[in-house]
Amino acid sequence: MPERYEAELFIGGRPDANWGMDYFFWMLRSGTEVIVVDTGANAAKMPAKGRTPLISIEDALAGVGVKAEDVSQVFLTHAHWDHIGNLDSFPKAHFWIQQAEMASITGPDMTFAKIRGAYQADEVQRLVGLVYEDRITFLDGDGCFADGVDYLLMPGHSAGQTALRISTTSGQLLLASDAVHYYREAAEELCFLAFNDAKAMLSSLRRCKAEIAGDWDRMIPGHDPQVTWRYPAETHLSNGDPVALRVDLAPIKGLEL
Amino acid sequence: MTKTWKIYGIRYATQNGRLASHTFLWGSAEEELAGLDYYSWVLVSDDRAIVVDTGGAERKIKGLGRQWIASPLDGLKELGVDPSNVEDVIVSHAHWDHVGELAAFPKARFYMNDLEMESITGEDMTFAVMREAYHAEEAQQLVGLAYEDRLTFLRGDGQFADGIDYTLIGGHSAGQIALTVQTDRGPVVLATDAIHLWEEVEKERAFLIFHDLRQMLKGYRKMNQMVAGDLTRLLPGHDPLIKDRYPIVKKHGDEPFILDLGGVI
Repeated sequence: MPERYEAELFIGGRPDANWGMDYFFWMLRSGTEVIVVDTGANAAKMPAKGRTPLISIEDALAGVGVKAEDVSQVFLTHAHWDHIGNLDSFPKAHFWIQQAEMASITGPDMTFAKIRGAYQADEVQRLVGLVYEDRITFLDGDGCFADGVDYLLMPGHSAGQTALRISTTSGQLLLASDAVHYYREAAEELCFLAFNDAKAMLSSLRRCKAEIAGDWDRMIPGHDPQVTWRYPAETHLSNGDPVALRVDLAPIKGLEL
Repeated sequence: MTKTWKIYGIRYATQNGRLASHTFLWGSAEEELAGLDYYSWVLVSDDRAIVVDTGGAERKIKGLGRQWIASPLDGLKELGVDPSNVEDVIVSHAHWDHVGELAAFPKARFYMNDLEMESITGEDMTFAVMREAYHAEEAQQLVGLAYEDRLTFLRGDGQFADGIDYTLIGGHSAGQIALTVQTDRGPVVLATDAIHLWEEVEKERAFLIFHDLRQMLKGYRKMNQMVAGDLTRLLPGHDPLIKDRYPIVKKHGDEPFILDLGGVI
């Protein structure tokens, strides 16, 4: 498992506990309607940050029968580099993002190097370009994105971090994105080490927990390797590792909390 | 003792003739106005030069049918100010005719109001009619400056330097600021585009380009109060009368090019 130690992830974390970290983007499908959620990291930027790209997002989507170039709706949960690295892979898409996120990533927050670190100037500039191309809709708080898809502002990790409440055949799931990176982060109310506002982040963590009412199978955290191994995979890498996970189906493996 | 500054206006372009219906809210198509002049400014003291707005890019000015006089960068050089060494550039607001030469100041730190940035990168720009006065690449350049740690956000009102205060006016654009500058003849308010033409204050005629009409109108009154009704100490951003009222420092051909706006009328 790739190394990512608890002490690098959470305030007061142990230096020798390796949690690993997986990177996801998501796709919601209902009949022929497709909504892509986040665009993953730019593969060219990953090695310099010590991350290993596994598959291009185009190939990942193609594996489940979706052409990135035909996607018309992309929902951005926040603008960290590992979530908006491939905006131009979706040339026909309209994008949605919280106004609070955009204000943060273009404004006074970015004069703090420690907050700026999770964003890439060229990607933020591309978002600004999309505004002027009339391809962005700004969200303010909570609301209904589509029938069966609600968005919930979960500020803290970033100013406009958003989670999605999605109706599936297994009931309502909370796609927490990075409002919750790991199941145990939420269970133990751990303080993740990248944040815009720590107090707000912890409050959002609690709100995410309230959403699932104790049923952890209804939560999809944003970076937990357990997600990769708990759900049935529809596609695999050549080495057999899973790529496209059906997180709307019943888990095939228990949860370690 | 408060420091005093010279205020130079660099008249880099002009528009000859303009209909009131294109200039003022409820303006008549029958009323022809003198037009608009385009300025960049520089505040100069013994040891410091602070640029206020960079002017618009030549191709954009010409593309809109305005008459180009000379580069605002040449105006600075005429005043002994080398743009490549300028350390401070205040952006009064981010309309295209004010931020067209950001790259000509490679060593500068830039200053702008935080609400202006939020407006030009956010929901306001999803309205085509509001987007018109801004250009994507210039908004992107400003964002780039933030990530290079070369942009300081000014919130509300405050002191910029000894003898220079900034006031958030808003109205014309979300983060439009005015500067109060101490000169040899006392405080002068450089309104830039918080007022385009003196008529806006004299007759409360509303300029046709605005972010918030009510805020713009309140701004006219506020600035009038700031100069206690003495409009010679209130400098609008585009009035063709400026070149007739203030001492000309330098002409370019027959056109007044550099004006001494802190000078005696």
